[in-house]
Amino acid sequence: MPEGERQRADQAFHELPVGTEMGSIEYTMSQERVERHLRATHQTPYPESGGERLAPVSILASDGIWLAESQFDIGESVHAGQRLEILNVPIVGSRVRVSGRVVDKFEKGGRQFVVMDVVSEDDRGRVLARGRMTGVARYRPEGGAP
Amino acid sequence: MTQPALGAGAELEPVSRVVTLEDMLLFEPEGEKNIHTDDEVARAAGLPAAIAAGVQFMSYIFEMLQREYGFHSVEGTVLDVRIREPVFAGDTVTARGRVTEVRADGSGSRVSLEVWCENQRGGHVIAGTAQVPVRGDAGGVA
Repeated sequence: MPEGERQRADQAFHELPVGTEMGSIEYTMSQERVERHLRATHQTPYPESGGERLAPVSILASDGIWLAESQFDIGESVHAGQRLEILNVPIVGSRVRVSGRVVDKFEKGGRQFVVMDVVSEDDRGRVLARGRMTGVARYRPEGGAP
Repeated sequence: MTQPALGAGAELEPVSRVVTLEDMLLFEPEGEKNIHTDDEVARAAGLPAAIAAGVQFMSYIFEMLQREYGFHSVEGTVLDVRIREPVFAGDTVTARGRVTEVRADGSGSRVSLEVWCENQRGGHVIAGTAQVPVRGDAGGVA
């Protein structure tokens, strides 16, 4: 949810060719954002480290979604899978840059899937997480349920 | 608190939550109207009601792993899940994990697990694997 940075293009997410660079977005890992996430997920805050407050790593799991949503209308999409490798715990107050690339597309069961590799880095040059997000580009459940 | 790492076959202490509509709204950007926050949008997409975001439940698994293996195990953890069943407001979701392998890794070990979140009907909401580095001097820090 990068504030004020969403620029949806009139382009279909599922039509992107493999290899497409998704560009990047940035957001601030604000205390407000962290508290909202902690409340939503009922998590206990991490202990401070070196006098700095830390954000729960689960907050990074949505980065690929925000990146895709910043450029494409993914209103018909759902998240089908997520791999997340945590390299560094985010620091509250830091800026986070998220970049990604389309690495695969496939069709299964009549649904179109898009696979994106996503990297989240902070303004100290640390890689926070590497993710691989699999999304159903166009979701049309049969019988009203996935 | 330090405790020995669980061996293969052992199950982790589960983490269970009742998912509320407020949780679902808080998980999304403020004011966002989508299938995770708005029943009408969800119905337009063919769903009976708003469904929680699948990645919301990765947090339950991260918390379960942290409770067992400590804060120092967070960096280096790899979580890989598939999202399988929708979760609606009012559902109870429980994160569970089972150790499949423990390997020596430097001064500590690397633990592989099956992990999943199930709903109150026993259906798997998300399911996959986790790998957790367990440092020689860490473990069991809630």
